[in-house]
Amino acid sequence: MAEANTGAGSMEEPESSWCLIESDPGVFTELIRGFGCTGAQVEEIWTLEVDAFRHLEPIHGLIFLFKWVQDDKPAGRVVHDRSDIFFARQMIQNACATQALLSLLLNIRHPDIDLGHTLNSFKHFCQELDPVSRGICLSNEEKIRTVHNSFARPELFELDTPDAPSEDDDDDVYHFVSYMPIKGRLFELDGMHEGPIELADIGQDQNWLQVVRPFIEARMQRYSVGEIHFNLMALVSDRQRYYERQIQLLVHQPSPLSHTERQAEIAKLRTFVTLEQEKKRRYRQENQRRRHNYLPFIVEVLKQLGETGQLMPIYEKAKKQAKEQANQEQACNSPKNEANQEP
Amino acid sequence: MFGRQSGLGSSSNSSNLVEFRAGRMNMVGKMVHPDSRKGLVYMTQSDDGLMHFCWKDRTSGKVEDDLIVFPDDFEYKRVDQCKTGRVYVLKFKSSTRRMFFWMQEPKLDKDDEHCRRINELLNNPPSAHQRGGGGSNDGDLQYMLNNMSQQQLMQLFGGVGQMGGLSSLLGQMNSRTPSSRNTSSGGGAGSALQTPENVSVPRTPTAPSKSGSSRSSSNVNSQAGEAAGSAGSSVDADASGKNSTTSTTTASESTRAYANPFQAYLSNLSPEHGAGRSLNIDLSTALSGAEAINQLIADPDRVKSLIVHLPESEDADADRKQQIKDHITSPQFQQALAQFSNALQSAQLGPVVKQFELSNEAVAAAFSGNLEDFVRALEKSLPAGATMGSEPSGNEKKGDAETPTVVARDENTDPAAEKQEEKQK
Repeated sequence: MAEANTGAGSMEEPESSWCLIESDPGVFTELIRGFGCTGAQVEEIWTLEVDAFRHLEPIHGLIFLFKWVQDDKPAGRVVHDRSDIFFARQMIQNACATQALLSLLLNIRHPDIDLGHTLNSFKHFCQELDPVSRGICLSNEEKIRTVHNSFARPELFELDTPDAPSEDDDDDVYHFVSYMPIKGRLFELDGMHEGPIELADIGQDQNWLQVVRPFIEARMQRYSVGEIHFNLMALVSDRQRYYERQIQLLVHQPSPLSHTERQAEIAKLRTFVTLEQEKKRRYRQENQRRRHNYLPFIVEVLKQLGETGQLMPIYEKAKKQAKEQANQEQACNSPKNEANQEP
Repeated sequence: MFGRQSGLGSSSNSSNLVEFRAGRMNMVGKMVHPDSRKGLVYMTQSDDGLMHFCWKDRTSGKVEDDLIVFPDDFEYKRVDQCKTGRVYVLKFKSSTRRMFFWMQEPKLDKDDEHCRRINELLNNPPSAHQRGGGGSNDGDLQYMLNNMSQQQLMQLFGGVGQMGGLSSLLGQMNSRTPSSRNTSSGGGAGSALQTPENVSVPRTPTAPSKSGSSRSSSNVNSQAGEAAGSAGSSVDADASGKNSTTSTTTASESTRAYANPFQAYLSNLSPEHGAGRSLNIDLSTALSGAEAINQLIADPDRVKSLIVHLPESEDADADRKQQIKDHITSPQFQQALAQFSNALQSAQLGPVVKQFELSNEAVAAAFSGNLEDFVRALEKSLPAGATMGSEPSGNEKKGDAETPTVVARDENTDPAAEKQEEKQK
């Protein structure tokens, strides 16, 4: 993995490092807003059946999350000569999510989406640089990093972190890869490679999603063998805005629909708007919880459960579960366990 | 006399250069061995000038730790990140080993002073070194080596996986000596001792003199005997840099930051399944639903006392009971609770738990990493005469305690515990 932190501000200084953040549509959507970009949001999709997410179109790009595997050979030609494509090498592991998101945002030219000041400045600043330098600039880009880090969980406890090496370092390394159509061609944007990867041409009348589908399916196939977790997210236009616009059109513009049909359609769209508002509220709530330090609450809850005599039963139940789980794991790992187990 | 027959460090208090009441937690590799006993940290200087850093159990009087410390081998400092507690760590500069201590002095006004003093003594021992360089070392050296216990010799010569002491010193003197780090435990100790004839009390290094042949022997004691016979010469001047030879720090510089440094710590600490800690009990697995909470939130006073710890809701009219339920069932809370369970069982939460108004028993359980004791302690500390909403369960200890049981009420009294008693009316 490109763990070169050159110029990234030494990892010893926590202020200049990037935190591990979760990857879910709420986080990504709020990240986008945090960057000052408007008109876009991220939705999770569970199927590549194009019809299943027609209602989300236009889909500007896809972000595919998977467990990173060491020898991932590019599925297509790595291009080095496209200065019109914004591509940055990934220099910091934890910045992965943001990097994948930006690889899409900084390449999008769509009337729905306004990058905003921060992203536009950044894009402009790095325009002439090579991918590695861009990666370094990104790692140093304070505004972006601050937004990214604002999605990290709070320190529940403050402790001396020992220097012991982390054994699981290579185990749970997840990686994001972006896919998007750029000027009639399908590209894979992966900061771990040296440049954008050209996958295929997109025909004039083709929906790019149909072109990307086999590539993603091939990947899923590969990883499902090892039962590797992955998920897929779509960068779409802001839904609420879209629905509101549709409502406006129906209200103010002549339409082939009958009056009743029109009213029904407007009502439906209004429901969608409400759902989107709900979603945003939920995202905000989730983020609030992510940032909240639950320690005092936990202690208070446990204390009160203790006072009401409920805590021991809960403990016993948890203990039972832990035993069951341990037994299960032993059963799975038995040959390995013989070496590890202590009498 | 260097070799106190009963073992080093069992000095009378009057010869202690510094001492203070403190408990102990040991970190060896990744495992933390907690210790809630009342203890005493102290340092003494033996007649040969060697400094000892010791910890003894105040109840039994037994000296459990007695390290010979050489200048620049150790650092003693406050665990800054543990802002909530008075925890100090003795860092072995040339290895990853650490020993943690938690202050048991009732007043914290001398904490800094004690810390400073320890560091002073660690690195600038008082000048008891009447013997500098020169041949007169022989007899002392011989006496020293002949009268140390096996353990002390191991420490000196870098055995038992511990760097420091003479082995690093010696490693420095003979540049062809393989890194002392390569000697791991026990029998390996001997191989670290290459040039015993250069051994001397490593005070201020004096004029270097070339070492003779290097010898390796697997028998520490016989080597010591040989050493005694050779003309002592003072420590090579290079010895002053002795700690620089060897090490590769085993600490992998983690190039990734964690959102929560505690998560980073946990990922380093979590043992393999089945190794180390017997069972990792995760309270969140049993508290994923809100049923248990229902009973609590039926009581408006409890709602009040819970809600203060939650962030304010966007919606001013939000139903507080529902809010509490929503938080409890949220993945963020569940994860935090799992972290808490794990951390407590890793015996790292003592100082943290201490800041809350829980009984001394609960705090002690946190220090020793015993989740079951912690739970029991919380069930015991029930307000006197308070009405219990729950139906009796098999594990109840409700009837027993009128006031919280406290472990020790003398110098370990936690003022918070007293507050708690008052509070529980």
